[in-house]
Amino acid sequence: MFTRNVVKRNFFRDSLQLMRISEEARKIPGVLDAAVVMGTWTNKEVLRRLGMLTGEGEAASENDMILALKVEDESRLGDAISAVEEMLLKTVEVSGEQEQRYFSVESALEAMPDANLAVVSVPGEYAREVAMRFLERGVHVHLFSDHVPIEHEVELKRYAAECGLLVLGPGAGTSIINGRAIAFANVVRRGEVGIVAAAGTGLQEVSVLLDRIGLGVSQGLGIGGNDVKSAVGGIMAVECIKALEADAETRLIMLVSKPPDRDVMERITRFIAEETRKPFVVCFLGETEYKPLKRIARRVSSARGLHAAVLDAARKLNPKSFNAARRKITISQTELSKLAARLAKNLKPGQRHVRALYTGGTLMYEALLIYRELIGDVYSNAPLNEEMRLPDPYKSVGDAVIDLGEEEFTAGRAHPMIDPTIRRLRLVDEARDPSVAVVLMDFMLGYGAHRDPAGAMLEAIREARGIASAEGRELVVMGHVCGTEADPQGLREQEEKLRSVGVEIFPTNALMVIASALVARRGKINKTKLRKVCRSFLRM
Amino acid sequence: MPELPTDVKKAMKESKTLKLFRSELKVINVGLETFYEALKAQDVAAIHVSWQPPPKLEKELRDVLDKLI
Repeated sequence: MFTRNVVKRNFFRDSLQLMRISEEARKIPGVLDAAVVMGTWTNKEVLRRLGMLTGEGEAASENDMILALKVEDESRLGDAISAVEEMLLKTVEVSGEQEQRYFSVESALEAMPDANLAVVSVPGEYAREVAMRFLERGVHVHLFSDHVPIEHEVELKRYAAECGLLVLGPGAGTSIINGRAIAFANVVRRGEVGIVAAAGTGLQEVSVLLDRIGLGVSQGLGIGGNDVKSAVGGIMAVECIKALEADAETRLIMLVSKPPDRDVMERITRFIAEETRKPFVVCFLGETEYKPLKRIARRVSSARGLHAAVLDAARKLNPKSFNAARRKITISQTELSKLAARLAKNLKPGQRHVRALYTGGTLMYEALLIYRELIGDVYSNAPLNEEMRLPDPYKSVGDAVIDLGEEEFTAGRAHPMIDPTIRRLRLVDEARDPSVAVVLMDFMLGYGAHRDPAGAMLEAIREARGIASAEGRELVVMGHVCGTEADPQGLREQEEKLRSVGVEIFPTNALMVIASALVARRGKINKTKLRKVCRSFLRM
Repeated sequence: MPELPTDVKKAMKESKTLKLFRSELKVINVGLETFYEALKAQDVAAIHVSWQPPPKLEKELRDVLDKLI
């Protein structure tokens, strides 16, 4: 077996193009494994762990591209490298042949003068320039880019608000506009709930759960996590609420976010109280429950978690439908305890820890909040409490929750919702640790996501369970598939694939997290705490 | 041009977002091509801009030119 790295100096393709080329390159005869990546620290670390980094690759800079190939027979290397180089050239040529392509914003605006939305995902440092050109032409912007300097965000949003335009983002992973999925979003039924979310996978989870209980979404507007910080002042939160209040299709407005900074919280609360009349469900994922002002308390309900927020929406829209809605996504506390006991039955006494491997940032944050109350603060690469920051994000200790969408795992790589490589490696690492009782994972469906997220993990799940079993242990694996039957991947098919390798499936993230804590602690969780969490997060 | 009354300006502004909600989407995608493909798969009228970062040298030259101008 031979491994070779070829470095292309100052050569750029985006991470998704490179992931596809890597997939194609693995199909070249004689190639055992292939990875074509930009030379970032993260990518080099992944290559090292795959045993595919050589001295040449190590010396590459982040502006360089690394072609890493593992072949059976050295004589195949030359042909394989030529084939990959050809693929790299084709990514530009083929696109050009298939249909009309544009190479500047101006030429695109000329070709589509009545464009009403721009989806912008250029690197953050260029985002202002690109987004502003659209705003100046009266086009709303969904800005997916992250690492946009906050002063650029403020400038864009102030300008947009002045002109009555939307800037959704930066860092907006998800929007649903006029029933269409923008960036990472699910195919959900249209309906009466308008969502404003400063939390991308939070928007995905609530829209999917609304769909499951028979409700639908009028508009789902992602505003980016920084919008509710003092520096931005909730500019788009207020603009979006204003738009949904005026929208005849929207009967109830849902706000999903981590708790805003105090001044922004006051601004939003005042705006809701003084400028709106529709019912609201406010889901500020926080340590304590947000209390709406007395004068609007009947119109505005408050939830700490996504599952609870969806049930609150059902209750507000039709109180009679609440119990039926709850049955669709919740099991009783007794059933939950029984399930946990069954799953924990074969665990060894030393298996005490949970390891959660998340691709969705908001879902992982919700997990941190729930664990804090049930089993105390857990380790993380994005912890609630700095003392619990993992010294090495690539290595778990104790109970640990990992956000695989954080910078240390994504620099120069496609997001883990698209590229499962890092989670596969991590799952196998977790399985080697004899203290692990349960591993949990989210599987995000919808447009933008991997075409088969469950299928992409099956081999790693089998391997992980095999490692534990070879050492006389059983590893409990839990999954929550955030998706609908109408998503391109199909909910049922994804869930079935996971069940076929022994994954226990949960309809919501909150339910999965509570169950995992019960499994790891063998049901020994303070009853008052458990009851409180079940009420706050599940409306049990 | 005389300043519009605040409520008129407000109504004009609101109408842009409401107009978006009531219109067929027409999208220009700049950057990740996968988002363009997702839009096409949903039958959304969309075009794609194959965006590339400006070469470093060009930026340096532009800075020099900016200074000269």
